[in-house]
Amino acid sequence: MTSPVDTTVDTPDWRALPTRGQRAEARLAAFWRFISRVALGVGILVALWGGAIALFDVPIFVAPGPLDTWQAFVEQGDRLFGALGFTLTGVAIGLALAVAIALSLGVIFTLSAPASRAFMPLVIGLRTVPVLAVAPLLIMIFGRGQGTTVATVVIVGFFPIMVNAMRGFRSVSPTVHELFHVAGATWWQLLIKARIPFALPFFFTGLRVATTSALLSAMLAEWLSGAPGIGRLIYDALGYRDMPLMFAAVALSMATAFTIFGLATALERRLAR
Amino acid sequence: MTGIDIRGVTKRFDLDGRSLTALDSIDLSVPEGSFAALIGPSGCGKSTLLRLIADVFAPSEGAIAVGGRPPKAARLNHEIGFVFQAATLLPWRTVRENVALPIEIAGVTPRRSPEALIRLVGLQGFEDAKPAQLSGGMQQRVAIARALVLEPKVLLMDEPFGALDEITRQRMNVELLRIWRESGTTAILVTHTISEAVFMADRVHVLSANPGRVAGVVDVDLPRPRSIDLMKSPRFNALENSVRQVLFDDDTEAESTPERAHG
Repeated sequence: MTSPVDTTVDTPDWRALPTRGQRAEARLAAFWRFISRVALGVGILVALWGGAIALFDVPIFVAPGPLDTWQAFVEQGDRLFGALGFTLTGVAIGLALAVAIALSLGVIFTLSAPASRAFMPLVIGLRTVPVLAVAPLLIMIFGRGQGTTVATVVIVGFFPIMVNAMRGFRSVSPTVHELFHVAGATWWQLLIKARIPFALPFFFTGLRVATTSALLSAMLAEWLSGAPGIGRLIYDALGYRDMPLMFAAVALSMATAFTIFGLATALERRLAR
Repeated sequence: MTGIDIRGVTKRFDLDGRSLTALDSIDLSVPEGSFAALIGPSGCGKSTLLRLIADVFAPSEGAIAVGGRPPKAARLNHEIGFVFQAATLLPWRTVRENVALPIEIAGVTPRRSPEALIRLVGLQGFEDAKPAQLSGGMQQRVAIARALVLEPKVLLMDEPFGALDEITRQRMNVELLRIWRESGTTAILVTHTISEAVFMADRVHVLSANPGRVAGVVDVDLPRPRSIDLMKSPRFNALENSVRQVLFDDDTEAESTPERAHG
């Protein structure tokens, strides 16, 4: 069928390429492998924890076992998830604002060297201020509610997003610049068709970093401001020596952080393709 | 007419405050519809010259005319197609979307569809493949289709097959000649391979380095269409030797010294 003088030797058969279905199947299998590994890890941890509590006969007001914690989790589920929902709302609003601010500043700093020189030191300055130091100030400005949480998440979160996005915007190679230039592209077309797509994997790396620190900073803000989130719940449970509730809240926030991290990582991987 | 005229072009770059002359008073012209090759050692500024024609840089002195107009006017009128040494495809776009990129940027409806160009470069069936699924030679075919999609009058190629193996490269060169004849563009190919320059071009412009100057011109009077067999002919070898002669003219005295003999 093929002629002896084949002029297209470098042409592989397109039917050999993996299909969409095969790729989806491979991804699903990888996901289940991941879940089962995590379940195994958590299972071992819980078994060790339960074993240690039973072995050393630790009283419940010092540390509860897995069963007591589970009971608190079931009995006070509404309270726990209510508090978590409150915190996550703050995290979501804060991250959305952080992304908006980070991308706006990132684009401005990438496109304008004078703006970068003038404002970048200011931004880095703001970043290096410890959140704990400005927290009282934030509480004065934003009050003892969601406002302080949102502000804290923005301050902590926007910087990694901005730095990574800028690195992404600048990752466009000189030949891509030349390609767009020769085609007569405007700066806007270069931004939309090259800079932003090339920056996406970098942006999601920044978002992943920001997201994981966002939950931490939101909970910390709640400790200080007294806003009724999961951070405050842990603090209060400790105050009342309600150890099963505290353990349940800690476990819930850990699981939440892990889920958020997993989702952000999956999103990063998915969209980096 | 859309020939290329380069008159007294000098290009200097500033490197750490020092002025570096990349090209020195270049005079060169490429007739409309012809195929020119630029050959020279590394650092002779052949890629820079190509970028001056494409209005990526402006010359420090002298003037360039593309079809009688300044390069900027030609560029903004989509008269220039550029093929880089690396295919420079956008990895998230399919073959079809990559080829269509200049159409999107220009906002025009071309006479030939991206699909027609994909057929021209022999990639039918791969319209929806991503660049990562293609071999190096196929990626470069996509880059050629993209460069031609707005039917430019001038096709500039900067060592387009430099990263390919010898066998693929020769086949791609034969293909490129076919595509060039079909598209009817004025073509300039930058290369550092003597046989490639002679095989492809109507005229080979030889540049010397530090600073880049035109060392000489070799007219290639081989008939077209050209095939690989042509490379075995005595006439081909004679032309190769003419190019070699101009390329190494500066070195003839040095040839007697032993350490340069094999260089």
